Amino acid sequence: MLEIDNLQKSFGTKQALRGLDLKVGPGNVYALLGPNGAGKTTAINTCLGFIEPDQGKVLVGDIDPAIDPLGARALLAYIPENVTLYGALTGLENLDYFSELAGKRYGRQDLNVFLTRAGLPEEAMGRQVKTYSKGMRQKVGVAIALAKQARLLLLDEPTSGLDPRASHEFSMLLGELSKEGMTILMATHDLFRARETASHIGIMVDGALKAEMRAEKTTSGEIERIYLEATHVSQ
Amino acid sequence: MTTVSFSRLLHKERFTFFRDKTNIAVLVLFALCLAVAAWNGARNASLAQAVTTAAKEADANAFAAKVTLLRQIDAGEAEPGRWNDPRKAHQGVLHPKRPLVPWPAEMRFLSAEADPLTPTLIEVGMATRHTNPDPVFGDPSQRLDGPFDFIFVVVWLAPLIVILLSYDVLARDRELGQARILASQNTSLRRIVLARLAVRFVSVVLVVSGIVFVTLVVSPGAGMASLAGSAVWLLGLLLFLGFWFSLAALVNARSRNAAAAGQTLLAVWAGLTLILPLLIGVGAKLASPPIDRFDTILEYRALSNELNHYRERITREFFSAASVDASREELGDEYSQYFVTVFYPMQLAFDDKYRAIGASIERQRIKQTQTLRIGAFASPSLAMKLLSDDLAGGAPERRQWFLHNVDVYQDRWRAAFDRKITEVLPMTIEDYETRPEFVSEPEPFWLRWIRIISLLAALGLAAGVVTIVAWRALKQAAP
Repeated sequence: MLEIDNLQKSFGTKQALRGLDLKVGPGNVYALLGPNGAGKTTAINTCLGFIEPDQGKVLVGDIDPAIDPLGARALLAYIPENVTLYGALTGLENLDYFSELAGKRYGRQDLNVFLTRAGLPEEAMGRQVKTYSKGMRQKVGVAIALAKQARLLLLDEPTSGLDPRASHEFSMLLGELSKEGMTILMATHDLFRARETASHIGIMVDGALKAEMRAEKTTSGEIERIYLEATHVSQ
Repeated sequence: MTTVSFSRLLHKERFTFFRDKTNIAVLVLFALCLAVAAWNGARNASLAQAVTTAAKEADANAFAAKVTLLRQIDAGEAEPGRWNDPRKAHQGVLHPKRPLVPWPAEMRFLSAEADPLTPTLIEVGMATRHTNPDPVFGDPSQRLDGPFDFIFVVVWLAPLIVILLSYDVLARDRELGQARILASQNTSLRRIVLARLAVRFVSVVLVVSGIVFVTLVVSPGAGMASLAGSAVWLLGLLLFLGFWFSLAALVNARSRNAAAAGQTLLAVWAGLTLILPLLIGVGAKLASPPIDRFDTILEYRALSNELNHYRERITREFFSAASVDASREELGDEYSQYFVTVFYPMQLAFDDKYRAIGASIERQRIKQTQTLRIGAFASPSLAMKLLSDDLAGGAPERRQWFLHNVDVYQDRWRAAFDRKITEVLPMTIEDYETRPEFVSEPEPFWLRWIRIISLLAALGLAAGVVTIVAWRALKQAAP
């Protein structure tokens, strides 16, 4: 579903991506670990078609976002670290608005279903989003992805700033989505949550993948050790 | 790939826009400002019409009274007074001042100024219209601000309203992070920004045009010409607002946060609305120095003294042109003799000499305004101001044309009664009934439209250039 092949990108003299190779198959959850400045967000931005690579290419399904960004975006959904929606609108209205931008039109009942599915309490749906907690806004973000019927979900530090319960609920939700066939690429610092949620884990340092493993065959302690070794080498 | 249609996008953006109470408050504030401006403008138009009507009625009544008295004198039912003898031309028709009214301005209600560059009416009789002992000269370069009227609200406040409504149309999304979610949908940021600005643009235009339409209906003297004038003004307004909205799009395409976008737009507003017009005004002054009131008074007095010095010659020349002996005793009493042999010929001589000076004053104003009009290509605010001034009746060319009409009429008036003066012939009822009437010819169509089209071109050019640049910038805008 997502293929990244020898991706390179520089910003001035700073080389953000140095030949990143990565594949995420349908229904897989890929957790991209790495220190700040490793190039995780740049990689996600390239997948979204927000920036064009200097070399290499990305394929979302069969579409290269550098060539057809809108076509690629039709297949994917994106949830940033901090889902800031329109505070004056309710959760329901925000979902309606973003769904329309994605070219989908739903009735109120369908929208309710998406929000319920994402775990937003019913009493909150008609409230203005400015009264929401961060976790609730993340849930609306997930509902936007669900309503879009995206096949690929890109997440940038999705559990950062969430309390353990909200993080756990979020991980469970991602697990359910992957079981339904959604492909997920998640950039995160949270080793424990990566182990809990992902099927595959990659450790990215200095714009390239230093290590890759299957989550089910690795313990949290091993992931931590590999991570520290990889980042130590780079430092 | 399914994408949202633009009409659907507009619908959603309209909903989002009106859900924000701040936007509604800004629109209400703008509507209130316009309503006050409309009230002031309509009152100005009413006052102008009332003054004109009263003056015309007084003039008609005065002449009717003279004709009645003349009939009574002819019938032996009344005796003429020493200062109220309708048989004497100088008392009956030459001495009283007549109210002359310019061609009506299509949209006088745009301005609330009591005396814009073109007056409501001018009163002239046999005496020169130049004998104003305390002349006040409108300086076009100083007329960049003004009272609280449509011109002020549209030129000064409307851009601020546009800035308030659209400074954060994308920059805030970027600042808060939702621009990335927006951009991750399969609708381009450019399309989203276009829809947002379109909703704001239409809202502002509807508020302005609604209030202008109501003002047009309630304003006295507004007719088809006013409707056409309003259409031209609204076209200018569309271009003017289009410029500011495009500028907001351009700034939003580049700004990372709303505060920076707002500051940039405010700086551009100050530059284009305050600083640049000021500099252009200084340029206009340097290119065509404004009329100095003191110099004009001195010039007037020098001319007056010179004519006094040669007054016997002037009298002689006046009467020799009429082939009449000026020393005849039947010229009447002492005042009549003075009036006929000294005062009246002097007035004619004065006008003959002073007309060139008066015309040069008008030309100077026109030059200043023409410099401002060239400068308007650098400042849309100035262009909108000059366009509104013109439609409100404040173009110096219009004044020049009106004063030319006045001079022509004055000449006709004098020609009709000169013989009565020089030959001391009594006025008849027929003289009163066939007296020349003033008809203010409107300015030639082309003269008017060259000005208006040039100002519309300045606005269109500014709006077009900024729209193209903004369109390109938005295409490359990153979330």
